[in-house]
Amino acid sequence: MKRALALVLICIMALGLAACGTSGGGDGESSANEAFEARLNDGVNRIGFAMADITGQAPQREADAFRAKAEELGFDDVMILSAENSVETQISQIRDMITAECDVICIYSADADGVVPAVQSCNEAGIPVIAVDRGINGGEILCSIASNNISDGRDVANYFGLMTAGESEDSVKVLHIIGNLSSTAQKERADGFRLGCESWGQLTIVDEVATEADADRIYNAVVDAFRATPDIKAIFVPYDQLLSSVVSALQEIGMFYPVGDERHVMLGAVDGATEQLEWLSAGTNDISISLDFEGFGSEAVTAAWNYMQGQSVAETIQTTSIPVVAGNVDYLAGNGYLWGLSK
Amino acid sequence: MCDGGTINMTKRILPGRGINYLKPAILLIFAVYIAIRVPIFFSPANLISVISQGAVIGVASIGMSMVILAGEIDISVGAIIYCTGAIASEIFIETGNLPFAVLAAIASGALFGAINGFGVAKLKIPSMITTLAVSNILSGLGSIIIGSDSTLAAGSAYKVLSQTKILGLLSSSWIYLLLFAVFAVVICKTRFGRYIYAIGDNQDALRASGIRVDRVMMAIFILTGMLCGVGGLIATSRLGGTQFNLSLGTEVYCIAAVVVGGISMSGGRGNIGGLFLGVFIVAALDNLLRLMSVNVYMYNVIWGIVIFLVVLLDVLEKTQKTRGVRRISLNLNKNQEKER
Amino acid sequence: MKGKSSFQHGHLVRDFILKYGIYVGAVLIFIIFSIVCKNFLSLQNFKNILDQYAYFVVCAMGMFFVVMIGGVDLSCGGLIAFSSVIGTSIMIRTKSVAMGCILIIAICTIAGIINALSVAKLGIPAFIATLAFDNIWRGSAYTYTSAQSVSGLPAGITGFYFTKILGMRGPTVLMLAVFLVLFYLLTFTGYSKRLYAVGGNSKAARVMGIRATLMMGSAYAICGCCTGISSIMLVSYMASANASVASSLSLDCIAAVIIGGASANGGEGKLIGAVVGAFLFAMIKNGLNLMGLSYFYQLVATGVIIYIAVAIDRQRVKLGL
Repeated sequence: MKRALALVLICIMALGLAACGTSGGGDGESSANEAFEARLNDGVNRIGFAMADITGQAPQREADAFRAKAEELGFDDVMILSAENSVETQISQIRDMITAECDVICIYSADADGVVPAVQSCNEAGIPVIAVDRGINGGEILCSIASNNISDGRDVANYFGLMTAGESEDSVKVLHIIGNLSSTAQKERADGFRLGCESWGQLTIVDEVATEADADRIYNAVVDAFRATPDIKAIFVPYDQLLSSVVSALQEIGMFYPVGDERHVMLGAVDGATEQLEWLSAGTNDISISLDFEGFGSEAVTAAWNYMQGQSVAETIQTTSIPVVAGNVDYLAGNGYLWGLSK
Repeated sequence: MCDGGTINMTKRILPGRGINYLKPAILLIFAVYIAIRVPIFFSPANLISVISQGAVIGVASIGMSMVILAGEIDISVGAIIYCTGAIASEIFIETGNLPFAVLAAIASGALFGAINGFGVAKLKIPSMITTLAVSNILSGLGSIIIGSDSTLAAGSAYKVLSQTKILGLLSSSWIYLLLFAVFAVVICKTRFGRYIYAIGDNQDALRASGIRVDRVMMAIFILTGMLCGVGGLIATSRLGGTQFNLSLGTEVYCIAAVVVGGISMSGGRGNIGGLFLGVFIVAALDNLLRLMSVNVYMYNVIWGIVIFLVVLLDVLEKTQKTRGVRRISLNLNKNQEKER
Repeated sequence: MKGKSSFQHGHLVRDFILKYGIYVGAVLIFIIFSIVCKNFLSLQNFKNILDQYAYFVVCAMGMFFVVMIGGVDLSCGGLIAFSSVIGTSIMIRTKSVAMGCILIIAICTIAGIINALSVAKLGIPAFIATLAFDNIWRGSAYTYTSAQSVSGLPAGITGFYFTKILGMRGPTVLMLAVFLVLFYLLTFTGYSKRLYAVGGNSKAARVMGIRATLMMGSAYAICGCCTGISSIMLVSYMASANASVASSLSLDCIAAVIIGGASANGGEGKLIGAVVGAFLFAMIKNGLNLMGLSYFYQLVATGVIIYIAVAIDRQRVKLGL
């Protein structure tokens, strides 16, 4: 009896759900546009920013710049969510933003293919989408704030190549530290770095180690790599901040020599974080690629604001990555080109 | 009590039980293979660094082994290490007072352990859920403490704690070895140690004999928290500070070390001496994967296979033994029932 | 027995709260979120939660069976990663969605049986065996794809999420179907009695003539099968597949099942409890997102809510209600 009752109850629930479902929801292009207009005129300007991850100084600054710019322009509400490199989390966060009636949604995607269904949902609901930092391979994108992680990785390899130009083939041994396997940024930078190394005969990657971007494991990885190959001449790390454990490890095994010393191990990374930029002048590391993280945030908000004001928005806004070395760090910082040294 | 260690020892010496030699034999074959393939592995410098690389896992595994012996599990270990490390670094940066930072790490570890213990012992929440919740809370809290620059640089003065060389070993290794010795004695020789085994083996019997099981459980989790606090200190002082997500996920390595060390997941059985080998194997495996330049995508696969095989060997060994011991233990059970 | 005596007059409210602990908790959280966030209390959002977390609920329902026999399955996440990259590759190669889906479910069911064999026949603790397999599956997925995502799937699978049946989206319908099948299995056949007997006391079950190994095999196989269905749902959800997917799924599912009132040692619990537990989980995530709480605070809040929710539920068990 009880069981039968339970089953009946469930069927009623299911049917109820179905009934609710059929009543709601319009379709077609025009309704999407109407929806956009309605949200524009609801009195609250809300902007959403779905980020792939926020664990690091760079994405933190990106989020801060985004929030600051949005408040400056007059958005009433800013919604910033981080998916920590999980695509399925990011999709549900974007859909939650749709529910929260965001007027525009900016996406720093965890995976260029994976977020496409979420973008389609935004299109369905008539919410313009702005791709930040990384492109999205589908759906309708209003505007892309593009950077190029592949070329960032390649720039570091090219620097290593230039500095060792003329050495004999395969004589410059390079250690390639792999960060978080699930992060697309990591993947692209690694691909770029490998690509760059291929174009220089003397560069050879002797080891690639997976470290889950965990400082402790990077430390161990560096110690072990030098045990296996004592004459490593250069190390590439995908994120600037992971360099601190590399330096600690080099100090422990007595392989740390500043730039200029003959025994110096070249250190290169991407991001342009504060500590690593300061190290450049001290001769700790060789090169950092500074991405315009604050630019990503503020450009995205500006594009969104312009669109909401009815102005046209460029399809692609290219940002620039700047290779920073000891020789240009002061000049760049003085002119405010480096987010890491701007505050 | 200690796992009926004496029985095991005599069994091991007795001939005719080939399975008992299987594990040492396989380890030996593997060691020979390594010696040929990666000779650098057995260099003294590398062995020393394997021990120091295992220090954080080792210290936390001592706590994890007590928890597992008591039949529970703690998956907040990594998060406690992360959070206590962040607290210690932050305090050291603010005050510059090393003993104070050490005290803070251990005290906060004890507090976090107490939250686990309270949930498991008093509120009767399954340990997996309690520690999962606490793990969530602490990994968030740790990041909030570290703040938006995502890194805390405590400078080289902080490194003294774990990077001082004493008699050829780093102080972090000494801390681990010392704590291991102390806790081996505690677990094997004291009444508290016997209670831990007894909880994992048969809680009701222990309760019937008038022992406050919840207090013992509470103590186990608090001690684990404190050990993780020490782990946090070692991990952060190695790097001279901390970073986002440092050491999160360490619990998996600790569980692996404990199980590879021969301690039963269902609690109540296992020798703490095996843990030392377990920690070494886990640290060495990581070290070997790097020395051998294994394809980064294969790391997980190899990890999984090795853990599976080692535990399988262990289980085979145990079932062989219990066939001999079963009759004795049956008698023991009967006696217990009579007493009740 | 001792607990019964505290079940007296004057504690009606308290006892009511404790008796329906998890449901009261769910309603309470529901009310709080409804007040705090503007868009939480809407039919649209309710459907949104259903669609988004359908895969999670299905996986939790599978996990329920494993928890019932006193085991755990930590391999769900890795298995989803592996089966989805293999299945989608086949879909692209053969242009047949059905083939891919069948393959995914077959892989997962077989993997479930392998888990059961490791636990029941080889005697490896469930926690370790499934942890090892989680690593093996995920590592294989990474190796197979070199950490690239598999995309360009046939429209049949990517359109599934957007298909509306009776006004509900595909995943919700599939979830309801799975629920009905499992509910039928547990309620109208003798299966649940045997399942609970094995979980509660496998020796007693053996005396009753129940083959514990067979029950264990079936429970893990059902879990595997549900994992497979959930893998298909995730593929259609992301319109792609990648090796890093579902990294914390297994633990979340176990938490959902236990939040839903199941005993962690097996032998006690209700399927509907697991579903409610999973939705509670989903609701917390959804509500915190809608509040726009930042990631780190979300972590803390999730932890606190789980701790309190299960604590309340365990008081019920302690009082013997």
